[in-house]
Amino acid sequence: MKKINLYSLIKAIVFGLFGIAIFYIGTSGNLALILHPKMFKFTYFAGGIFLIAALYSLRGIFLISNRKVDYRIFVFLLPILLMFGKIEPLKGDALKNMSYDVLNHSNIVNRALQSKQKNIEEKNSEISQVKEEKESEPKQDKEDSGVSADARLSDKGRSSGASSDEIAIPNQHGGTMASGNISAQDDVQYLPSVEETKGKNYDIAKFLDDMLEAYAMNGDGSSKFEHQEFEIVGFVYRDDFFEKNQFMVGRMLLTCCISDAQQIGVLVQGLDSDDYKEHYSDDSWVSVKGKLYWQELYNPNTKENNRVLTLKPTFIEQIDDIEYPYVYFE
Amino acid sequence: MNAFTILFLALLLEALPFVIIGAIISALIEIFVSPTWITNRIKGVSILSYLFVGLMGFFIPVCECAIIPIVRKLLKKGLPLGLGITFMLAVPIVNPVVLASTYYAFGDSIPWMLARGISGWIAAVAIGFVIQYFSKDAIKNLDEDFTSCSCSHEHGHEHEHEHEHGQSCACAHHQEHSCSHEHSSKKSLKSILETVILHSAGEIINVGVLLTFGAFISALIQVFLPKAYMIQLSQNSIMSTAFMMLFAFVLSLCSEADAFIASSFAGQLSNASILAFLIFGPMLDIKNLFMLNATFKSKFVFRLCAAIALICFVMASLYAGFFL
Repeated sequence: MKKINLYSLIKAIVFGLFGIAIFYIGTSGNLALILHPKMFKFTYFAGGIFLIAALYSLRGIFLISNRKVDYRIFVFLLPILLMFGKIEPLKGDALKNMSYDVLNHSNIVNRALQSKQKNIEEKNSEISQVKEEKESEPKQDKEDSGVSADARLSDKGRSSGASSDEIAIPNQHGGTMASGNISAQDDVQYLPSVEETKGKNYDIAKFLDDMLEAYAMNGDGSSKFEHQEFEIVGFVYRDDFFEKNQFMVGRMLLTCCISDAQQIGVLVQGLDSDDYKEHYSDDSWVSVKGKLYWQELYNPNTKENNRVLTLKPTFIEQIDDIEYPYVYFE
Repeated sequence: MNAFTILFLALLLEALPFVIIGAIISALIEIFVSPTWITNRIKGVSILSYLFVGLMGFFIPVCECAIIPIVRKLLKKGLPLGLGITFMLAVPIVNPVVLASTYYAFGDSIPWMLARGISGWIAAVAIGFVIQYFSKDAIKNLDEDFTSCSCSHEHGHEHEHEHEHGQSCACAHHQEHSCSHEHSSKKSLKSILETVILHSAGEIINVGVLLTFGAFISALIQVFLPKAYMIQLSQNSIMSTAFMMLFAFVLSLCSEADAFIASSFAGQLSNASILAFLIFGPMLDIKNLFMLNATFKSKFVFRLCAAIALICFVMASLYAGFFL
């Protein structure tokens, strides 16, 4: 009987397992808990290379070699085991230790969404300008040119809303926000790949839309959608200094992978008499309806006041774990 | 435990494909680029060649995980050490993908994109220059690494030897012959593929194992050291630059994504510290450090780290002081 080249055998097994583990974690949906779906193709590529390398190592098994085993390869067994193990979505429990300051959480989102909003507004105003040019042929419209930007904005809202649904400003009734604006369209284009990996996309599109609208601000810093009713689905998290009538509801936002995850959410603040700590424990999933407003809050972490987007709840409901816990940037 | 698992796997699975891409490119360099080709290109090493090498990211837009195997191969092929270092440090910053993400993360900000691109570029050039100037003997050390195989640390010794010295495939013994044979003979597609696979497999073990260690330690620190605590420490304005560099080092983010984290500190921390985070992170972090150790002598790595830290600190402070 031929002698077996031990190292080739080990390499074939470890590489093979690594490749299988990568495809396993991809098909089980757990990969979406770790990486942004845009990264999947790279991960699968790595998995493919591992399988090829495994097959290649197989060829050397029956060739005798005096080469010693490179034991470092066993290091790969750790990630392989972890990939086959149980993986749960990262939520507030991890945030406690890992997170940035929760009240300052959304600076990036804030800014990014503002720029997103800015783009939409620019496109909208371009279109409305074209419309205005068309409409302003009669001289009587001239006096309208004096109206403030805000008034024109709302005017535009009406006119564009009436004209084409592609650029419709979000409609005014709260809760179910129409996702007819441009950003939502971008998201829709992106969503099918998410759907392939995990299924339902409703929550992401809705959540991003809601947040986009929530963060959109007027020039004076007030929310354009202030006092409008929203519904937000997310997990509950808190900082130590939160009162019993306060909690954050939000989701993890991934740019590339979970190590750059940031929580994006709003502060839910009920009446002084409300006690949420009892009813809504950290990391439980809730759906909260309410009206949004900005408030100045003292943040003990940074020792300064922060403007915090706050939801005054009208309805809070505990829900089951949602199928797709994160939101993905872009 | 779950947080650790997720972070560890994320860092690993995010970086691994790019390490493999780097390994494949490095294998292709091994096959197609001869040392004479490089020495013919680089007659005299002037400041211009440094500045040019610093812009190579526009042609090879790879991130910091992929660049190390490539540089290692190029150095072996005779690229001057300083140029190689500038190349390695600049490409993950001065490349279109990273600059675009920076632009986007800071809210369509051209000043921040330029700040990162220009200061990263100049810092990389300066570090390469310093390394070239100060480590005349380090080049010798590095040569030893590649020719007589004195790869400072114990593990990898044997592997390094076969891989670099015998031009073999870092794999089983029997393959060494066929492999070196293929190098000299005609390059059929099949033999090229074989060589690429064999070289890549060797590189995956060599670099991948150290990447695994790096991801492991980075994840461990991130789970047990509260980020909020680190941020509190960095409130002090002078210290904040140093702490943000430390933060970038620990986080080991991909240079494509780190701008999004950095921008979340805008307004809270000084511009200098944010810029330092942006240029230091892609040059040096925990997972990179482990991979660097696979390539360079630890003494050299130490010197390199010191040069990177110092120059990034100064560069970020100066640039932010004058332009941001």
